[in-house]
Amino acid sequence: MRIFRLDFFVFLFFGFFAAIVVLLLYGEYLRKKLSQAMEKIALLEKNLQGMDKQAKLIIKSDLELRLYQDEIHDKFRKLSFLKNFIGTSLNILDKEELFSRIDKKVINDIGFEKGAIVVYPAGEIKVNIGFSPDEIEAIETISQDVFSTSYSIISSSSRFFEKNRKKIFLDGFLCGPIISGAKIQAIFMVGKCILPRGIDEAEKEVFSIICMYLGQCLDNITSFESLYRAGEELENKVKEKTFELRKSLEELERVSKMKSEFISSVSHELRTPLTSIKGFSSLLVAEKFGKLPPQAKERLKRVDENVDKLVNMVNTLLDISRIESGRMEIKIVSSDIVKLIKDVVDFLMPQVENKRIKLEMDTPSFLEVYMDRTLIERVLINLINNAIKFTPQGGKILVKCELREEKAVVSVRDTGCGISKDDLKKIFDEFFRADNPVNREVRGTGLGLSLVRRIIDIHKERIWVESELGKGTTFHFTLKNKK
Amino acid sequence: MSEIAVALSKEREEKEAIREISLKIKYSLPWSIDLVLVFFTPHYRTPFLLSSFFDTLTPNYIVGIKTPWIIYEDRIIHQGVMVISISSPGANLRLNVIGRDDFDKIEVSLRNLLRGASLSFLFAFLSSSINQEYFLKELKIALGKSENFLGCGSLLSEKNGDFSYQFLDGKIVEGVLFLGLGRNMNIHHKKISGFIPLGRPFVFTKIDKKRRLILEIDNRPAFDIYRKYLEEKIEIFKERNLFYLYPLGVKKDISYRLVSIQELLEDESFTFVGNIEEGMQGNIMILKEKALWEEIENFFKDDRIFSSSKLVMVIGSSLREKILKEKVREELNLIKKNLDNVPLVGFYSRYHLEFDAYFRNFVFEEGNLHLISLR
Repeated sequence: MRIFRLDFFVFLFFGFFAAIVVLLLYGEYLRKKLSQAMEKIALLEKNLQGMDKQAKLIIKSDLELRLYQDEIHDKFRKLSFLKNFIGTSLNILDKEELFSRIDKKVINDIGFEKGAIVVYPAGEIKVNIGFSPDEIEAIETISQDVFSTSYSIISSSSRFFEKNRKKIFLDGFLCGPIISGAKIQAIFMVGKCILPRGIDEAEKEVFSIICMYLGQCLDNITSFESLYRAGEELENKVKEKTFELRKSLEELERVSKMKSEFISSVSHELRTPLTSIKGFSSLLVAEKFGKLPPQAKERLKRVDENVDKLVNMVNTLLDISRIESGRMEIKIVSSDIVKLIKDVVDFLMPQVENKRIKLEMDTPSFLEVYMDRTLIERVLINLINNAIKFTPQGGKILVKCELREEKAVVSVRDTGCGISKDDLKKIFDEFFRADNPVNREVRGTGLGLSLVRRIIDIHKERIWVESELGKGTTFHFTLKNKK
Repeated sequence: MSEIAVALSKEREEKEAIREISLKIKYSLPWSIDLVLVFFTPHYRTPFLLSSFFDTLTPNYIVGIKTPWIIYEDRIIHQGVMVISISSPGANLRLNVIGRDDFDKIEVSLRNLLRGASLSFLFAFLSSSINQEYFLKELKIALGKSENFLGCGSLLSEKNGDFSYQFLDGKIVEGVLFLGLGRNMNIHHKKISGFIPLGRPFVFTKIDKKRRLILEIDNRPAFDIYRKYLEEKIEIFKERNLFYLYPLGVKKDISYRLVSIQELLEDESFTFVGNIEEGMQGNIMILKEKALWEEIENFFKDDRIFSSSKLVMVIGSSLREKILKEKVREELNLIKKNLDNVPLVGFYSRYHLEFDAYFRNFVFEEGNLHLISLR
């Protein structure tokens, strides 16, 4: 019984011990399992945290990228707007038209819903897109701020104004001056920003560029207007002067015509009696009406000579007036100038010999030119006659003809007293006679060279003179060479 | 066997546009036309377009859909008219427009439309002025469940006119348009998403379904979910209302359904477009281009139906357009490349409405691109 009891207790003891061991082992197993689960949960949590971290990174970078893209896109849009706005309004030269370009689209492109331009200081509203009359009044208040802040841009997200106990609320606006000629000409204001990010530096920059550009445009318009006015004044003056000149010219032409007609009619009237006088004086000198006393004959000879001069003068005057009035019949044909020179020289040779001067010719054997032979003959007679007249005894005359650059140039050179520089300018004027000792002795009409120039003019050729006092004078004229 | 012809005109002059399109359609579809769908931008007058096409193309049915943009091949047209003409002898076409004044009769009208009809697909073009909840209720009563249904919400505001019209006996009816296509027309519908979930899943713990509000997520104010991920950028995100960039996703078995945030309220709750039940799991979603391009490639690899269609109509989403911006063209390009010679046409809508088998309900969704193949 005792043994049994002992065995029972031993068994109980060992059983209890075994149970404790088993429980301990199971507890350890459970602890391990729990620890593993906890580890897994921690790992999962770590993964989830990693996922969140990654998600944050992705979302934030994506947002940042999009904001940058939006900003770049917005800047491009603004640049493109500025380019278009400036491009389309660059040549506007009218204030009204310039202001009319600030329309709803422009205001929206800047990023706003409302816009206004108020002329300063008159207060006239040039542009109003969406602003209420109360808000426009508020602009005047804001414009005071523009002046007190050295004409800078005023920007505000929102602002209250009180007018006649009425509260006016302006939402997200920009206000700036339009300066032209160093003065504020108008106030430009945009309000109610429609951009999601609100007003930032980019909007202010674009707005200030537009304000500056509008000011620049106004400057251009002012410059153009003053230029236009000056141009108009100048044009009017030119018109006035042209009118005066035309009147003077008409008067001159009328007087000239009257003069030509007068000379022509007087010359005609003179020629008839002169012809008769000349006829009778020649007959008297030739003693066709009987012998004359020597003194009377001498006097009559001088009368006859003077009548010749008078006839010559009247003929010259008639020729000039014919040329002037275009009544002279001109027949320009090709002809040998050398032969004509020789004929004229032969014709005048007795005078040359009388005066005991030497006349030389330097011409080719033949040179065909376009000319009116009769008129050019008169030119040559006049020029050589003058040369004879002004060349002192023992002097020399050279008549030259040469081909220069497809033109025949005829020159008559004498070794006379020469012409002063002042007189040279007037030498071809009608009735002008140079002041020199020969002219004081030799009488002349002062018409010869005038006729010569007119004849050369109607050939559309050139005549000029070179002279040196005390050494001599050379007259040159050109004629068109026949190739 | 149905024949389809598509023509586009970008002529500003309505008469010229009508002339150009009519000639093109008549050339490629010389026989009788059953249905004409006219997609047009708001630059054109609805009555003039519809009555003119009714006269020139003489279809049995004509429908106008006004949309801000038209998708034509891989291009987005901002001003133009596009016409889809369908000739399907013996086709069972069902068409009905419920005017604004009759929106309370949607269920009855829909039942009448479906009575005795054996349709392969039903389209609904929804006016912007319609009450979505009410429409959903009426739709459920009338249809019960239908996987062959797609609704699109107008992007245009009410003052610009509803985007759907029907021309009936010289009268324009404007409102909600139902277009049912019979069994002889093979319609296949699928969508492209490109959205992937990010971060730790959360639980929508408090939802006000009536007011369409997400009140709490993980027992915290709903807005905290964005605060958590955006940290220091939350202010600018909130200020610029950029919620459309990262919509929420409701976890289904292995996929997600998008829930777009409409507005943040003062108590930091959101109004939303989508379908959520309390206790559902969700994630914040992001549209990743790389994932999108892969999805498009796989889409056409897995489903050869589209590349062998007579026409593929794509219905874009304004939210997607806002997220993808210029990449929208790349997306269209890639789709067109995979479609090869199959004409690709479409338009944009604000939201889509479809039946979700997981939710066993019709659900609104924003942000996906729906492709419909007509064979």
